[in-house]
Amino acid sequence: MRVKFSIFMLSIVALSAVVSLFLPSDFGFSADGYSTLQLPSSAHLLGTDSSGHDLFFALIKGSLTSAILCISTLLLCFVVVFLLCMLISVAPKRLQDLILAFLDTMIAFPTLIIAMLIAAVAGGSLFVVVIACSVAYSVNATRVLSNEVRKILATDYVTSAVTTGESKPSIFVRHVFPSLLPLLIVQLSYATSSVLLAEAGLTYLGYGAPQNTASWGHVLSDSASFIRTAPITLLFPGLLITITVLSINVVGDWVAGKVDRFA
Amino acid sequence: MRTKARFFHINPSISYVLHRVLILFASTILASIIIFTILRILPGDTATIIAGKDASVGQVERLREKMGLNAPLIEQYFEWIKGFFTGSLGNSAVDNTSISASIWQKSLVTFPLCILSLLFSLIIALPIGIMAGMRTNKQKVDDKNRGIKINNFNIANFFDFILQGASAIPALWAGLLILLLLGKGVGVLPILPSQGFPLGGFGVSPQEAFVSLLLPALSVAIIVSSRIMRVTKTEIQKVQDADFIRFAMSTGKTRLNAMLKIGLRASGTAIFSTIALTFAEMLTGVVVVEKLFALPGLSSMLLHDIGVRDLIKVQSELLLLVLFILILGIVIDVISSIIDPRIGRRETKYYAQWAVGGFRRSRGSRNVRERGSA
Repeated sequence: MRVKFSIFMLSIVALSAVVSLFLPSDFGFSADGYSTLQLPSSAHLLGTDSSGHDLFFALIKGSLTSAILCISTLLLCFVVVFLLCMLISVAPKRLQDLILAFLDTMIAFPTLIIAMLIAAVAGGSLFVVVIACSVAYSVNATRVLSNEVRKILATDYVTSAVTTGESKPSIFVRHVFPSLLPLLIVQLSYATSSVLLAEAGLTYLGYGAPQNTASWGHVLSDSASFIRTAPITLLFPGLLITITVLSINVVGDWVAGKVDRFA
Repeated sequence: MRTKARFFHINPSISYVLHRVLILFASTILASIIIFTILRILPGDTATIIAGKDASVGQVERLREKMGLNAPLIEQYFEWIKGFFTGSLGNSAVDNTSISASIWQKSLVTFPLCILSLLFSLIIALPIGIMAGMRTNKQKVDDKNRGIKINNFNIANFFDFILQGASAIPALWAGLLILLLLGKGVGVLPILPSQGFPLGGFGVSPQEAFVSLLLPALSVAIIVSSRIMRVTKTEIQKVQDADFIRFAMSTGKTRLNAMLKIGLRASGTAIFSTIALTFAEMLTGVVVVEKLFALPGLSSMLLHDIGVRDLIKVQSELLLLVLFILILGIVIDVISSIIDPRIGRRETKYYAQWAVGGFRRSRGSRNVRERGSA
C-alpha cells in the first residue's frame, strides 16, 4: 500500500518534470499585479505567490529541477561509493585502516557549510549542491558499508573464491558487490532524498538554486516571507517535498528488499 | 586483541589513550589541510572584497601585504596552524574582533539551542521508541495463542508512523509550521515569541533567552527525534527475546520493568551514539532554523563570514567544529564501553575503568572470557 502510493507519487513527479520541459518559461505567470498571494481557486489551483506566479505551475516546473538533482546525485554517489568500496575490498589491511581513518575525518565535516562555502565563491548553482551533497553522502554511505564489506570478505564463499585463484577486483564485482547491494540501495535512497532537503535549505540561505531557476526550495522560501499575510501558500511546497522525500525512502527500502539474495 | 610482548610495559589504558590522541592529532592535521586547500583553491580574493569597490590596485596590494596573503601558501598554512594549536586564533580580517571571543559568544546561543532541542527530542523519541519496539508482530501472535485480547490500534505505532514522516520534513518548513501553530502574532495558539533573542544572551536576561529558544528548539526536535526513535525501536526489538530479559522476567519483573532496567542498558550503546552524533550534526544543521528565528548563533556567524569572505575566520571556525566532532567520537567510544561491558576493545575497557576510577573493578574477571573475541 505504502509502496504503491510512493511509486505513484514519484511517477507523478517524473511526469510533471517531463511536462515542464515543454512549458514556456512564463507559463502560469500573471503580471497584472492584482492576482498576487491569492487563495486556491479554480483559476489558480493552489493560489499564487507574491509576484503572481501560479503556485501549481511553479511546483510543476520545480519538479524538473528536483528530478535533475536527484538523478545526478544518485549516479554520482553510486560511482563514488562503488569505487571506494572496491578500493576497501581490494586494499591490504594497513591501507584499509588508513582509508577508514580518512573517511572518519571526512565525516566530521559539516555538509551544508561546505556546500555554502563552495557556492559562495563559485556562485550558487545546482551543480554545487549536487557535488557537495554527493561527496558528503557518499562518504557517509561508504563508512556504513565498509563494516559490511569487511564482514563479507570474511565469509566462506569469498574465501573459497580466493582459493580458486580469482583476482581481487573480480571477487568484489562477483561476490562482494551483490551481497552489498541491498544496503547500498538503502544508503543511496537516503542520499537521493536528502539532496532535496539540502536544496530547500541552501536555497533559503541564498546558496542553492539560482534566482532564475524554478525549484521547490524557491517556492518554499518565498512563502516564508509571507507567513503573516498568506500562510496557506507555505503548505503545499513543504508538503510536496516531504512526501517526495518519504516516497524515495520507501521505494528504496522496497527495492533493497527485492534484490536481497539472502532474504 | 592480545597485546604483544614489549621490552618495557605500558599500561594498556595509557597506550590506548596515546593511540587515540595520535589518531586525533593526525585527523586534525588532515582536516586542516583539507580546509586550507578548499579555501585557497576557490576563487574570490578577500582583500579585494574588504577594500571595497572603489579601491585602487595599490590599496588592494597594500592590504594583501598587511593581511599576509602574499606570503607563500605553505608559510601561511604553518602560521595559521601554529596559532591554532597555541590557542591564539588571531583577529577577524573584516571587523578586527577577536575570533575566539566571538566564537565563544556565539556558542552560548548555539549550544543551549542544541541541548534544548536534544532534550525535547529525547522526551518525544524515547518513550515512543520503547513502546513501539516492545510490541512486535511475533509477540502479537504469542498473545493470540495465549488467548490475550489483541489491541490492534497501538498508540505507539501511530506515533511511530507520524515520526517517520517527520524525518522527511525540510527544516525550514518545520520551523514555519511551528510558527503557525505557536508563534506570537501569526500562530493559532500565540504563546511563544518567534524572534528576539536578547542582545546580552543568557548572562543578562536568562529567562527571556530561554523562552526565545523554545520555538526553534521544538522545530529542530521534530525532525531529529524520528532518527533517535527509530534506533531506539530497532534496538529494543533486538533485545526483546534475549535470554537476559527472559531471566529478569522470571525473577518477577514485568516486561516493561525488565526492559527499562536491563534491556535499555543493553541497547544503550547504539542509542547513545546516535544521540551524540545527532548532537554533532545539529551544531551546523540548525543553520536554517537559526536564520528563520534570527538567532545569533554559530552557524549564522559562519554564514555571515562566508558571505564577506573572511577566510581566516572561517577556516578556524571550521577546524574547531571538526575537532569538536572528532573528540566527540572518542567520547562515544569510551562511554559506550562503560554502558555496555560486552563491547569494545579490551584497551577501551581498561581506559573506561581507569577513567571512572575502578568503577567496575569488582567485575574484572569478565575480561578473561572476552580476551579471544575482541
